Amino acid sequence: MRPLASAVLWVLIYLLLVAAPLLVLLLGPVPPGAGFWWDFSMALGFAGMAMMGVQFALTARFRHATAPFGIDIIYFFHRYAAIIAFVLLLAHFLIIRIDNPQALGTLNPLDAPWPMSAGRVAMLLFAVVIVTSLWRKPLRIDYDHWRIGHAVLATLAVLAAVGHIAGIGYYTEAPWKRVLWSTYTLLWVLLIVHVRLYKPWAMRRRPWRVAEVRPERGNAWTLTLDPVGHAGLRFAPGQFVWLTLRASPYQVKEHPFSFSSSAEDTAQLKFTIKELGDFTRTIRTVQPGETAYLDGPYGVFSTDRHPRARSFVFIAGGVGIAPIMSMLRTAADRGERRPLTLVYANKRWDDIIFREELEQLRERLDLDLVHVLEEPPPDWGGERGHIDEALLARHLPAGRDASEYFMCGPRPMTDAAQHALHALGVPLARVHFELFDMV
Amino acid sequence: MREFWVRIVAALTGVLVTLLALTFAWVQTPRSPTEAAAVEAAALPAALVEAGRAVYEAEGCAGCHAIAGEGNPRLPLDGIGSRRDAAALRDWILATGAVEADLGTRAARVKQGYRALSNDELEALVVYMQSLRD
Repeated sequence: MRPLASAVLWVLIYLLLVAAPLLVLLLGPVPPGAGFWWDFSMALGFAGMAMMGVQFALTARFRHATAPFGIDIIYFFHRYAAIIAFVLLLAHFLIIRIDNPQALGTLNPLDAPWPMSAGRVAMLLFAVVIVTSLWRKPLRIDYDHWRIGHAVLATLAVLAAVGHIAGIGYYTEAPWKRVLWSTYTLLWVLLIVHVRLYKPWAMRRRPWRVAEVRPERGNAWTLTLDPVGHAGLRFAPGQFVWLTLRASPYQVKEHPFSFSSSAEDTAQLKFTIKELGDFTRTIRTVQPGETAYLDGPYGVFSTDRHPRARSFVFIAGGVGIAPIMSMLRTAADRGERRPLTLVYANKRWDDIIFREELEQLRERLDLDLVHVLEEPPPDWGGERGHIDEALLARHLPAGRDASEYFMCGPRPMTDAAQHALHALGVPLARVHFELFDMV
Repeated sequence: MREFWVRIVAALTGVLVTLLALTFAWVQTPRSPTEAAAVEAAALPAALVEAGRAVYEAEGCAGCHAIAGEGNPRLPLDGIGSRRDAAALRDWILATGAVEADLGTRAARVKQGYRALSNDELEALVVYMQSLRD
């Protein structure tokens, strides 16, 4: 199926899943109406829960479903959808709170009927889940702790909400509706089994062994992995995996990294990782022979998705070179003839990851290599400062609107480059970048 | 570009489910709750009616019932005093007698909890219900 058709299909499936509980409400026999605001509030509650339920499916990393969009954007959507769903749930509560406060009864959980308390607990848990996700860094929550907490709290919140719905039971009493809601709940359970048990099990069956940990320029390390007892992994250059090191796949201590090696070499994978956070700082201590597990590949940030492009422009900042290096190495291995431009921003000349290899690649590719230095040496004759419109205008290839653009680097850089490209008349549909660092 | 579409689809989803919720509220036969305050029969002792009202509020009856539009509109009690006599009201409050079979198991379980009320409280509650006339 063509990517666009496939994308539309999956969006429709999503909308159907979210709308299904409301359609069931509309179709089936329901208790008689109880006034507009009351019924609206109840329906909003179901709508919010339907969205919250599908949140689990969004992050289950189904490769077929995420392939047309890129999994990064699915997580981005997960974030937006959570906020919208929470607003619906809040409206469900507030409408009753304002229109008919007596129906809510006492707040004291000792006296309140348990389904009402379950609803309050669910609301509170959802709020905690959202706040800890939107502001994880300001709240100084460790990423690994957050991931586990996020899954546990979200599951508890949904269970409490299901208790609230079933305990009150106005809309779920009819036997066929019980079957339907039970099936819905069962689907969530199956999803959790799939993500937390089946996927780690599948990862354990295809382990990798660390062959080498090599220092690169600019506080970066290249980790080389060999497959153990299997043929390796096919990927498109520019894609990434979730990497688990020094932990079991069941522990959910995984971190996303882009391949930096050529996609033509499926039996030996390389990842280039800069020391930036708690996990990446431990890369230097990894020893050859250690075991690694991979979940992937994922992502749509790849030249392979644009076979008809006339030329490619890459804009990299620092370690953002990793996925672009994968695309360049792959291009060289495949004998790529199309013109390529790399605008590569770094602080200092000595920090430039892959500086020597990029020089060598110029001999195998039609590659225009533009280094941009923030703190250039005294005798530097090249570009300096930050990437801006004037700089890009000097280096973009002829027919710039028929080129495809790949950007990877710090967010301020990609934002500035995106604006500059837009100002230069490049259609935004041709500008590609991964969204990461969302939580 | 992709973020733009994400915002569109997310907003679209929110609008879609809100519209469905509105449709649901709309097609449900709109039944305006009885606005008229219940008429209290002169024959009933006012103190007992007040005591019954206090029990009604303390027990959180409004979680499932509405009187004059206040509380859960699913099961309004307006006019109940015109339709049920004291014995029947007592059965409905406690889920005893023939009423037990009429109530769902869930509701019956909740109501059986009120068997812990004292006789005075129950008496007051029944009188308060009797005071709710059409």
